[in-house]
Amino acid sequence: MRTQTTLKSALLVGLSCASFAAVSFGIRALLGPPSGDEAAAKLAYLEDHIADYDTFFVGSSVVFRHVVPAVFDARRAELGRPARSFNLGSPGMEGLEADHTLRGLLELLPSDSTATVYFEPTEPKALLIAGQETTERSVAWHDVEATRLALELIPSGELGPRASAELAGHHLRAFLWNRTNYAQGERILRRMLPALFPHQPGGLDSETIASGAGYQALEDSADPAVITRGAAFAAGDGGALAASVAELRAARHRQATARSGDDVRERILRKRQAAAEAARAELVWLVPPTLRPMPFVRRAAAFAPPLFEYNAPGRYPMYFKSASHFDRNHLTRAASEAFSRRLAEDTAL
Amino acid sequence: MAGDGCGLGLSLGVNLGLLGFFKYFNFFVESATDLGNLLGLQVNEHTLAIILPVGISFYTFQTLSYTIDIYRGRLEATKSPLDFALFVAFFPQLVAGPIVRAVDFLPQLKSSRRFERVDVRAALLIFLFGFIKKTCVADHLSVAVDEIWQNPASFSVGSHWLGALLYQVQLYCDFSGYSEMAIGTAALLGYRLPINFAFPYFARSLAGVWRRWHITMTGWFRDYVYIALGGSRGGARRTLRNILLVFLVTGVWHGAAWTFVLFGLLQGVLVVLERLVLGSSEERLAWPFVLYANLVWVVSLVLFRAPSVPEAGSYYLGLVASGGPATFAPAWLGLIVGFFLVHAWMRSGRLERGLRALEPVPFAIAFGAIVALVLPFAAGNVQPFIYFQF
Repeated sequence: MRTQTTLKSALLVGLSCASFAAVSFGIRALLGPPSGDEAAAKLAYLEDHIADYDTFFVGSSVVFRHVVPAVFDARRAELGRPARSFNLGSPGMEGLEADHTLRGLLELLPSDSTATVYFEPTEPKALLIAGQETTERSVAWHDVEATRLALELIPSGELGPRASAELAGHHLRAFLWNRTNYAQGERILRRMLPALFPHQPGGLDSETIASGAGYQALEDSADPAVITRGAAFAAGDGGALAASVAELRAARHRQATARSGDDVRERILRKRQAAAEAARAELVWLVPPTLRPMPFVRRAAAFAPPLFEYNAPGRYPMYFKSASHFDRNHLTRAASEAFSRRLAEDTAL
Repeated sequence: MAGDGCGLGLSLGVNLGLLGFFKYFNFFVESATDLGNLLGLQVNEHTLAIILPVGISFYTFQTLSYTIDIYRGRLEATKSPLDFALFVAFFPQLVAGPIVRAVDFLPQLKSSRRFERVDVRAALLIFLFGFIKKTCVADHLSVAVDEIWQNPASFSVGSHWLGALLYQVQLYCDFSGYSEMAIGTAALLGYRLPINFAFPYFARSLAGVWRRWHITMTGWFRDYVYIALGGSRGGARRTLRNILLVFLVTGVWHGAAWTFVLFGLLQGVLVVLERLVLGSSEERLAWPFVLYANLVWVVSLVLFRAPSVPEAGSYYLGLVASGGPATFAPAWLGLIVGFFLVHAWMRSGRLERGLRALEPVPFAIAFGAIVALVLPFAAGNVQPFIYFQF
């Protein structure tokens, strides 16, 4: 009797779960995966325009703000190595999130592609920014692959069991939100009742993406935080830049030390390189002018050249002067254009 | 032991002493200091960094009900400390009710739990309805309500009203949502907890709202305070005094702040006035009195939500005149109307009856599908339950 009840209960629970999974899957099929930020908007744009481009730049804000596709393409054309480039950079997009975007791009490339993908190899980490564990953006990149890698990368030895379990919980929660369409109601309503939502949610609209091929100068941003940051820098925060450049110079001379999870990180890079080869694309590491020392690049470059690296104040002092900066971390439009020309020349060789 | 006055006194002293220390000590010290300074005395404030134990107001009342019921001879003292501990610390309702009485809970522990006897469909449905109220309504509304309360002066008169209305819906969905999830969780484990809300926004008087709002608390105050004070046995004047006192204590129970004291006092005064003008029978009142009851409730909740008395005063002024240009999108008003329509539909019980009537297999399939359809509409900004602070 008891066995029968247990079996019946298990069957009902199974049916309920199957029904839940089927409806969740159906909603997801209608809506597509969750989308978070500029990179998601750009990938959505590329779904219809991928054939228009053969060169892609993927990375954080230093890619987004420093690589000007129009300038890059023009210079490459002058040099007889034409390119049709697209900027897939997004503020704060690093590590596993950038890897997620790279995978999305590689999946979009047509089978006869001969694309070149410049990728900023920021270090894949499991740590999440406090308070942003389940933002729409965080949920968006927590697919099966990213969540599995994040769990592998948890530095249990450094964090201790409790913090490690909490971090794993955050990743699993973001993953479950991703799979169950949790808190995606606004997108459902947008799809069902587009008249009620005339404006796109945040980020970039498709016209802006198309006009700059993914690039937008900080000077053109309407974000009040960006405007304030730029004004503060112009008003005299430039002193902080000199200190940061000095720190970068010192840090670049330090050797990267081995850390837990390095094997996973290297595996990720190898896997992406293999995926790029499978998509007939060439993967190139790119470090635009940035104040971060990026020690992980040494490891990436050790087994997978080529690497174009511009976070070297000694070699490229022009990108580390106050006059070239819009704010502490980003170049002005003019400096970004100069850098893009330089990048076109270096990569045309 | 029944009639043991010493035991009762000790229990009241210990329980209320702990509650008083943890919840009200700093409030009394600060108020006394303010009063002293107002009278021109040089008084130094000596407050303590006390961390309020979560849910202390709830389990203190449960413990008190145990000793008072034993004293009154309505309950036999349990011989099992484990049973008593389970009664006080039963996890589904530990931190925010419903306030369970020993006389209702302890007898349930005498029979064994059998899963076959659990009405799983009813338990799952009540949990799901509570979950929807909390995550799909209350947490979304909290964003708008918090926005207006952050700087009410920047909002127009209409937005002040809208903010107050939204808070009414938020508070109800937050608290009744928790109660229903607690009841559903307990039911899945084979325990019955009393209902805590009975569609208060269809009441036709403020007293009617209180009869349907946080029922286990109002019932507790009725049985252990109002009746202890003499209830309605000492004539009209004494009855009104008792009502006033019970509401005052109700306000203080919610929190150690003058806003809650005034909230309780206001409720008491309004219920007394209502009784004098409209009488005590809610059934005699026509349906438009539903609007009256909601209006009075919405306006008085401003005191409940306000961080301080001056801020409550400013908000009340904003309901009449405000130079603030900011306005809420009119869509929010549609949301409130929608809420009341859904509320009316839920009150009819058709949905619940229809789902409960399903055979197990169709129910299992429908339940899974409903959960999958609900989750996308849950709020991403998960908010703590409002009543956790009490």
